[in-house]
Amino acid sequence: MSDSRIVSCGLLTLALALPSLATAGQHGRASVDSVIPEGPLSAHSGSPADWPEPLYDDAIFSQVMVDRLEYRDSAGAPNAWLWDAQGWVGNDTQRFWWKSEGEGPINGGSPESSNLELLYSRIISPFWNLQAGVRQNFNPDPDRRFAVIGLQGLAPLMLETDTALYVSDDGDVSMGAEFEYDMLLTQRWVLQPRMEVSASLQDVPEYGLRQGLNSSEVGLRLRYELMREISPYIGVSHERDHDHDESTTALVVGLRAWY
Amino acid sequence: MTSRVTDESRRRLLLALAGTGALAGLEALLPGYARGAPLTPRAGNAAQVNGGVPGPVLLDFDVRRERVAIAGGHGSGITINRSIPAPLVELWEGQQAHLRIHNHLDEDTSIHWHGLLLPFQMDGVPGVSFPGIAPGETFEVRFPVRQSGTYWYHSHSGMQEQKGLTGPLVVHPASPHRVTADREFVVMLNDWTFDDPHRIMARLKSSGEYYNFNQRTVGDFFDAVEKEGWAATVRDRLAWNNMRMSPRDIADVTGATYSYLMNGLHPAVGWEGVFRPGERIRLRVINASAMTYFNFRIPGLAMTVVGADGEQVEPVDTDEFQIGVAETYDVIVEPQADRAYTLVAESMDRSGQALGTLTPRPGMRAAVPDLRKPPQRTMMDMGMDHGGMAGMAGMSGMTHGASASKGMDHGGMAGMSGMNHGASASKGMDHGGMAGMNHGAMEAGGGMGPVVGQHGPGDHGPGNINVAETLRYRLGEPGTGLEDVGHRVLTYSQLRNVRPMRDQRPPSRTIELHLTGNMERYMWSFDGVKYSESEPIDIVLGDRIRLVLINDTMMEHPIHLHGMFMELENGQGDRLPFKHTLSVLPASRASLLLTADEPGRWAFHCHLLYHMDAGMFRVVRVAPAEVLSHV
Ligand SMILES: [Cu+2]
Repeated sequence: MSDSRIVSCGLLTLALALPSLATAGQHGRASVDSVIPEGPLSAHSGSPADWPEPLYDDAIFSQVMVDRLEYRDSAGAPNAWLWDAQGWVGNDTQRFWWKSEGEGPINGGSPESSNLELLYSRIISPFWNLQAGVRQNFNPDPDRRFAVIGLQGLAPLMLETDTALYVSDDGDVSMGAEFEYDMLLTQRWVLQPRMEVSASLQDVPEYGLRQGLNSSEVGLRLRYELMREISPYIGVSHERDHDHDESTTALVVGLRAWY
Repeated sequence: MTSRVTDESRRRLLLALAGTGALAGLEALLPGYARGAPLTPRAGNAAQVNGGVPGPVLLDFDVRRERVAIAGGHGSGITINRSIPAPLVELWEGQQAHLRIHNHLDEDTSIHWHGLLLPFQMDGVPGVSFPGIAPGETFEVRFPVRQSGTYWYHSHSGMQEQKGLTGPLVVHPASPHRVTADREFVVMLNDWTFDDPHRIMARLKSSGEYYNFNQRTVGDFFDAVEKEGWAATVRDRLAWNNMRMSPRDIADVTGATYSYLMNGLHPAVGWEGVFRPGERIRLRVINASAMTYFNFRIPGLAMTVVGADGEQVEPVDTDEFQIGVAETYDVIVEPQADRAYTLVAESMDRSGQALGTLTPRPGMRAAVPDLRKPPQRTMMDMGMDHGGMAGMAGMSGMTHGASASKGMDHGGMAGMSGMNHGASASKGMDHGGMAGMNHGAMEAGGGMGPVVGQHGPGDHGPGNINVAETLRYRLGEPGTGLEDVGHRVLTYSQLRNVRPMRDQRPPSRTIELHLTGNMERYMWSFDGVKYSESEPIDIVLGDRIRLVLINDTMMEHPIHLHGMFMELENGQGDRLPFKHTLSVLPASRASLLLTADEPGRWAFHCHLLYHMDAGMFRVVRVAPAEVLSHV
């Protein structure tokens, strides 16, 4: 680099810089009048309201989670398929939440049971969401609708917990609860014990429900996380119908996936 | 004529770029993607600091999104003047800087000059200091350079810094360096990912542990049983599981997606700096990553720390230091032997490392150490240890009520009595006699700093999981995972300014902020309040204030104030070191002094990119009282 170039570059740059010196003033400090601009201001930044915000920490995110999509091979009962999915859309504190479960025989016919819940969910403490909404059954009783109020979150001991109270359009009250625990065998092999119960607070003869525990299921699934979002699994599931005093045990193979 | 100058400056940048490998011999060793015409997009950047004749500087920055060859692959990145990282900028103290940013993206952009003192309108934070730079627009930054040292620059828009828009910035002093060197290199550290940062954020919002592949397993359980017995192991597991936290939660985003780069080059290539044995070399280490803390060391070579966050400190000899995101350290090394030395920048969670080599001959390599065992958090990081809290004495004036421990018998504690706010404990407080503190989680080793406070009432709402009940002074600690490395490790308490404090007034006001978060929902905030729920923090121009940072979370946060240096109350009397970014350890209480002499609206935030974007951000407004009262 030649010295003359440096000098000419220097002079020129100084000339270019002069206007900014005028605005900056005070040895490169801003003028005190510029701190609070004229006109409407953003409440958060104190900058002009028509500027973008520096960041958008209230953005909407979403998740769709197919927790179980499985084939069930039962001894003594027809083989069946099952889905258990849910998803949410919303910000950190408020979310729209949906949940759907269904089960049916492999060899034709309509599902034995299926339903959809639509819920409003609100964070009430660091680990818990309070949820309220409606549930529609499609099978076996497509006319049954419920109001739902639930609590979903992570309980102490790292139990993924989903509990709900249902009030049918006839005024019958029932409850459901699910608990899952992830036990890491390695960073990718995960053993998941799972328990699900449903109970009724009164006899509902037209739907064959007795007061008390109606059904329960315990399962153990071993999944492999190909990536966090995709994990095939195998497992066993033991279901008990307390109203009819029947139980079935199934070997299951399925897929857990989310996005 | 203007354009001629521009071309000249461009040429200077390109020359600087070529300087990486100035070292023509080295070029041949680089893989294909790092070679070729200077104008093809590439990774790998000027690392040799050229210096030269002082003068004003005019530079053009062309911001583009393009496909780059980087980290052993190809991906979409954001380049400046066709380079990732962005080119080295050299400015001169006492001279003008004129920097023109041309936005060729189809989205807004911005450049923030990290650590520089300048009029706030030039500071480059969209929505705070200016509206941002729209596509196709040019923004001209002009300011007189009022300082010297090692800094850096990066985009403050749309997570662009994660996609490559970061660059080193060196300001040469007006008068000769106090500390001389025969050769200077920038060592810039980055965490590169081929993923879209918005997708990374979405994943974290769904699962905070998405990138953690070092969680506790059944195997670890039985290992612990073998070492500590059933009772202790079960108790420990229950304690963590009850809190619904993991002691292995060290980094939110890890080597599972990141490649760690040194001067833009990934470890398999490795950056290379050539020296002559016997030379004094200044390394300007810049952590320009989005989320990664690094442990920096040069096996076989001692370092002398002479600068921190761009400002000069009294020399400290050390073997390793932890560098938080956005911090810089200047170190002097004097390799005497005719051999190569490996520069190791290991990510704090030990999921990967950035590597480089100082070598007398191009191509020569030294041994590369294996990654060390990942660290674990302890109950003390959670602020959950209640040991040794008896018999508090002398800590008058502490905001959270006095709570130094009698059980901690070590000499330095005497110096605590009567200390204002307790955070300025003396250097004498080393980790000697923590015996009285014996509590299950203590075996982390190295020892934790003394208890200096208790958390007040309040849990900061659903956006905060943990409340650090027991707060410690932790500036004397080497940093997570460096407690037992068997050699010297730099601590904050060792940093001593070369100059006495200019403003000796006692602070007239204390501002206390809690660092809060909810890992389960990936929410981050101050005092449980996100930026979008916050109001500016107003400070009267010219006031001397004390800023107290209390970290309720179980992880470090590098807290950065734009536009003004803070003085860290680390027990160095009137030689408190300047900081623009302070890494606050879990369950600790740190305090800083600030003379608010720069009018403006200044960003104040956690420099972990995804924490900032989740809302761990505030605007600090500095103006005369009469101006502020009119808002
Ligand atoms: Cu943070």
